[in-house]
Amino acid sequence: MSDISFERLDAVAARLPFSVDDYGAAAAAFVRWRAGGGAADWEAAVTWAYCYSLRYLYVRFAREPAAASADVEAVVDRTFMRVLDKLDEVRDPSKFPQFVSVVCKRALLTYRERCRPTAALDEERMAAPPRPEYLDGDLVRWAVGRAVDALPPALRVVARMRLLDGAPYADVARATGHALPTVRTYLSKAVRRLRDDPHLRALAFDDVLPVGAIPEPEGGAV
Amino acid sequence: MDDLGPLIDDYPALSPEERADVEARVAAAPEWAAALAAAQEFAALLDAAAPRPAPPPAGGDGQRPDDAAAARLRALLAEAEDPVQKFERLTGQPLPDLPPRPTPNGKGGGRAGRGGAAAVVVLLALWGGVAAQSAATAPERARVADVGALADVDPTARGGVEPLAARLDHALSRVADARRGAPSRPARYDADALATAAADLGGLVAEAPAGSAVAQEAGLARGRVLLHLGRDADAARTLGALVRDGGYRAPEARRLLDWVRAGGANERDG
Repeated sequence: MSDISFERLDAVAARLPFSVDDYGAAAAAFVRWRAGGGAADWEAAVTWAYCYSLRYLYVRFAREPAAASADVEAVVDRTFMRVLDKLDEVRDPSKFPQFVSVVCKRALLTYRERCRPTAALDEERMAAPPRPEYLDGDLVRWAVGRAVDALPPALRVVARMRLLDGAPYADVARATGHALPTVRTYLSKAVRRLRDDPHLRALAFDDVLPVGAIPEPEGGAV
Repeated sequence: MDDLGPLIDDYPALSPEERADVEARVAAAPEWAAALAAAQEFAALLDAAAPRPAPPPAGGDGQRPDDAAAARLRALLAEAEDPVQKFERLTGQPLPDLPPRPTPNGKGGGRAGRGGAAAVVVLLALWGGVAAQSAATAPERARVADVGALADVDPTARGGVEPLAARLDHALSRVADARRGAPSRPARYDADALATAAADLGGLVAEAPAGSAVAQEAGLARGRVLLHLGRDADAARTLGALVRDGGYRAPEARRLLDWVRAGGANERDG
């Protein structure tokens, strides 16, 4: 769906001094502002958060045929205001893109929770498997790419081919000259290191805000 | 089942078949369920970094699922509020006129519609300055009360029923409408409008069946509003009643009540 023009939204994004997909630049603007930067950094960060939020939510609501456009607009409004309200609670400013993405994801989850039949049990919700479509693939690729680049060289090559290029194990083994079991061992080690990367944890476990800053989507206030 | 730990640690690196095998083994050993859930969350993240698969083939109607989503996206965007107007409505500020995006030759890019009026520049500089200052001095009371969170309360969740749920929705809308300005933080609220909303919420607490979802949501909302307004004694009474009733909002009420009784904001605001 990336070939679809966002038309009027593009006009807003064009005001940014960097692309909406430039997560590093967005994080840098926010970091500068939190460090005492000027109005331009603040405006860039907020405008980026606005563009990102709208794009994230509209794209995912496009796969929610039952969602009325008025509902979509209400969620979009509420989500952006939530981002604004919580900006000063982002503990690590370098995780600004992850923070905005997590708020958007929570908003979408909350909407879907509310659309579930009221008879659904909490236990059923807890047992639901993770839904990859909540994740922003572009942002995830950026974050995983950064984390992979920080791995030791031997692990880095295997992790990049397998995780970012989607190469089968056999292809990774051929390209690196390692035996298949070695490739699997390297990937296992790489994954364990990546799991400790704070920028990836922020996306995987919503580990961006103090506990309770954005309540879990489980009915009631969220 | 002692060997499940390493397997779960490796879960994101496993093939779909191997993952299914681990899931089946955890189903028989529920003490590992939480660890598996965390591994699945992380696996989903790594999976999302992989290249996107080719779009599925068209169905009988000649339309691929992505085509339908694309059409839906176009329809949503066509019906959506103009993004510039939305930004200005939500923030109470004009869309910033930011520095131009650098071009490959290092010069600023031309951009249509860059007004550059001095008044707008001054206004935006003021906005950024106020926002930067408020991030450093955001009063703890406003953060704890978190009146903005009330916009997310669903009156019908947990069994809230009409007409009381509709009245709760109306009262919560009054809280949201009391907001003034925007991105300066903490959000500013009209005190009179909040007081009116608090009175509405108090009426609901009195009328709704004790312990009902509407009574609890209205009580917690009233407690937050009163806390925001600095009416600590009233807030403590409202929150204390919620704590005594022991409903699902009791823990949150307890947290706020503890803050009030600790003298909270007394003067950490200052």
